[in-house]
Amino acid sequence: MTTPGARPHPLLVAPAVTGLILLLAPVAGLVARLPWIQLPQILSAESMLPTLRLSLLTATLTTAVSLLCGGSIGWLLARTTLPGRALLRGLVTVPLVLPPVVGGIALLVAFGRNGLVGRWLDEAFGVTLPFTTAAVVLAQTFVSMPFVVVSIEGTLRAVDRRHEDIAATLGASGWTTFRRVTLPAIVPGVVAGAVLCWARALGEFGATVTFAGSFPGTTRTLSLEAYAAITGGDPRTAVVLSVLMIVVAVGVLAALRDRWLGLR
Amino acid sequence: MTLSAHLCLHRDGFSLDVALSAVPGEILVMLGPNGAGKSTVLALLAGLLRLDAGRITRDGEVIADPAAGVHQPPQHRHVGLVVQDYLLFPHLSALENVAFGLRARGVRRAAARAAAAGWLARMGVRQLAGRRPGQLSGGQAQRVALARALAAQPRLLLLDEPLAALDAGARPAVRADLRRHLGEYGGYTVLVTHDPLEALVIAHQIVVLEHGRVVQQGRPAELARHPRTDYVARLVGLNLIRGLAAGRTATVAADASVALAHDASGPVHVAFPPSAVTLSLRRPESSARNAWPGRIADVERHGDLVRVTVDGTVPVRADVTPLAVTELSLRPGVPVWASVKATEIRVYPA
Amino acid sequence: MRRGVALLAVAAVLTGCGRSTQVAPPASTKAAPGGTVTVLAAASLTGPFEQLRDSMAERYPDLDVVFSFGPSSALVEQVLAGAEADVLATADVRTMQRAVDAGAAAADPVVFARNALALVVPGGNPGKVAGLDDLAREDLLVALCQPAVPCGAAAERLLHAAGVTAQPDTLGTDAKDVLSLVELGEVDAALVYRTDAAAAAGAVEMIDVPVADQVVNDYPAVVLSNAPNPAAAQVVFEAITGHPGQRVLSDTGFLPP
Repeated sequence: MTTPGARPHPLLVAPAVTGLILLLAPVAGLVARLPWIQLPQILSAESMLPTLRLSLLTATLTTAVSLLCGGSIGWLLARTTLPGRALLRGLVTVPLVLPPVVGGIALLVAFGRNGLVGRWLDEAFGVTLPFTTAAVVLAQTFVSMPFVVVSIEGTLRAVDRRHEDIAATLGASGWTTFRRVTLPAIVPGVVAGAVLCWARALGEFGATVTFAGSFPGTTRTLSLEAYAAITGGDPRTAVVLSVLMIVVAVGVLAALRDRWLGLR
Repeated sequence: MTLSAHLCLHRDGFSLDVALSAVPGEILVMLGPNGAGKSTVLALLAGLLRLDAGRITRDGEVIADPAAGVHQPPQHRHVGLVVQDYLLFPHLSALENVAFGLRARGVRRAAARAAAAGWLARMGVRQLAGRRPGQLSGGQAQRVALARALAAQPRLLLLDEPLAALDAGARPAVRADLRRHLGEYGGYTVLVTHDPLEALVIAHQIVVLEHGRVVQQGRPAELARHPRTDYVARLVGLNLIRGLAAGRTATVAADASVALAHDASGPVHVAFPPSAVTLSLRRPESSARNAWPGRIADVERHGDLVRVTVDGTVPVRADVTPLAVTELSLRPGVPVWASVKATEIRVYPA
Repeated sequence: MRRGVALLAVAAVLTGCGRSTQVAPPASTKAAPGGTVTVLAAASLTGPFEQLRDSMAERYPDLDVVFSFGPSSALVEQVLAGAEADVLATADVRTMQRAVDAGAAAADPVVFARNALALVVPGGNPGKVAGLDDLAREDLLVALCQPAVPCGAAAERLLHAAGVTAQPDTLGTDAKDVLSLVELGEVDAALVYRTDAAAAAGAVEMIDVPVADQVVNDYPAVVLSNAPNPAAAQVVFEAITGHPGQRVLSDTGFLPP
């Protein structure tokens, strides 16, 4: 009998330790390389604040767009008998497994000035997306929205729909039922999806740099700045930015774990 | 002033065709085995499902009539629904649950909460107003669910197995309370159950549903006396045999007949309680008795007695003492004679 | 197998077919060099260096030259982090100096080529770009290399020399990256290396910029001090800086040092 407190099997220890080293060593390396002395200078650099602000702004906008659009998709998937639902669900989750740079290339040839949709946007409205902050949000949404779709669909499926039936018999309109019965029931799932989406958007790099380009203040988010720093021969800034993003990511996971995921 | 419904629905091989009518202040109990379509009837009455055909009218108003394109949505039907697992809204307190219906119909928060508190008081659970559903016992939750349904002032109250989730100890008290509250409620009440005792205790009218069809309806006493299907007979604890009567004899099978105490003619139901059946290993001598041979199919405890099921030309259930079981070595497979006095047999037209 | 291919190639040289380059064995090496030589090179060197490898394969069948192309500063970063490489070739001296300062170079770097910038536009020149002045137009989408990489530094110097304040919309990590955006038509104009522009001649148009010749990048190369295969590395280094390298570099639009 295996009990929870069982002694670890010796054969499992070596690969487990190897895996842990693989996961933790890079973080330790970053922290070890933190240029403590130059830290205030790097963090107070002229470009740091606009970059941080741009990252927070785009990740938050992405989360809002994802909640609206992805939440609606999740609802359709969970609550309708739409034909081709399985296919739709598959398509929606493709970005989860797609290399982000592929997403960026796809966005560029679709929404770029000469792209399928972009050409029409340009001709009809004079709108060109690449190299704008909107393009950053678009690229981030492309890779982050599936988190919202998946988590909202899952939560909606777990909700006992008979609560909604009861609310209807009590005279509640569809909207009242959604607001007072369904929404409170799915809040944990919505929040978890939103936080994952936000964190993924904050760290997004490949799709953004490919589709939105990289320009300080407009499209250069924290992760793009880190890449620009390492390719531009400024490893110290790259290290500082990397640690900054790790802090944010760990903070988000910690918040999730305590509040919503029940992993305690 | 009646609620009159003819409900037709066809789903995945299940077909429901039920007609029923109710009068205000009377409790209509729908009794039937699992899968008979009882809950579907409630969903159709509540408007949660749409009729395929048929019609529902209440006090002359047409509530649903697919042929005329009428389907009042649930929120306009003024129905109260109480279900087996209560389905209290888990994020709201007991008070907020009860106030939900009034709030949904536009009553101001303070007024709705005051009314809700009054309903909780009537149910005897005023002190639980601040609790979340997760902190309530089954009986408490049942009372809150009933208060929530009644607070919305429904014209039609639907209860789906409202006592089934309670443990046996809590059930009698909650049942008595439920009966009292339903008696005070002046609207139409339809209660669904698979428990015959509950039906007999609570109902003014009983409708027995099997396989989506009404097989019998009537007052509880009439049902208990004159069951018309095996299911009802088993529910009320009677043996039931169909036969063709002529004078004091009813033919119940090709080579079996029943001697009757009174004259009768035409198709009849022959009913007698298991306690009236005597089992013996040889054919009984007495000529006044009806006696049929058979083999024991099943032996099970039934209170202080043992219920023996006998398969034969006339299948019967007999209640005998444990002593008799030992003395006669009654075991499945053993051939026995089952006999009943004619005076113990009730006969009524089929 | 490799030997067989090499024999065929030698046969081709003897019969005078093909456009291969004869490579004389350097005097400094006694034995024929072999093994793997890893070369870290600026992205703009991709074309000529791959040609050079093909021509060297005929002369040194046992030598296996492996390239890693990328932005020069990222390559230097890899060297400083201890990447196992034999030869480093960057797109400017400033970047190379960081490797030298860190003691990663086995000898003094040698400048083996120079490159100038070119103003490129998509086919058909949708933005009607006539010269460097147009890079300041707000209505155009303009891509440059980021200032920290050599092509970006060169672009800054060129624009400064021309007295133009450019309004770029995106800063690419290297010249190839920027060139892709021009080829896709997603930007109206960009400054890239003349060599890259020449390689993409069918897909982009080059706008003549007289002042461009005044701003050139020097391309230095060096054998690294921790080269795992120093003897063979020296052979490759001499091929780059010597006659065979100069020939392919000049064929692909590089200027002589």
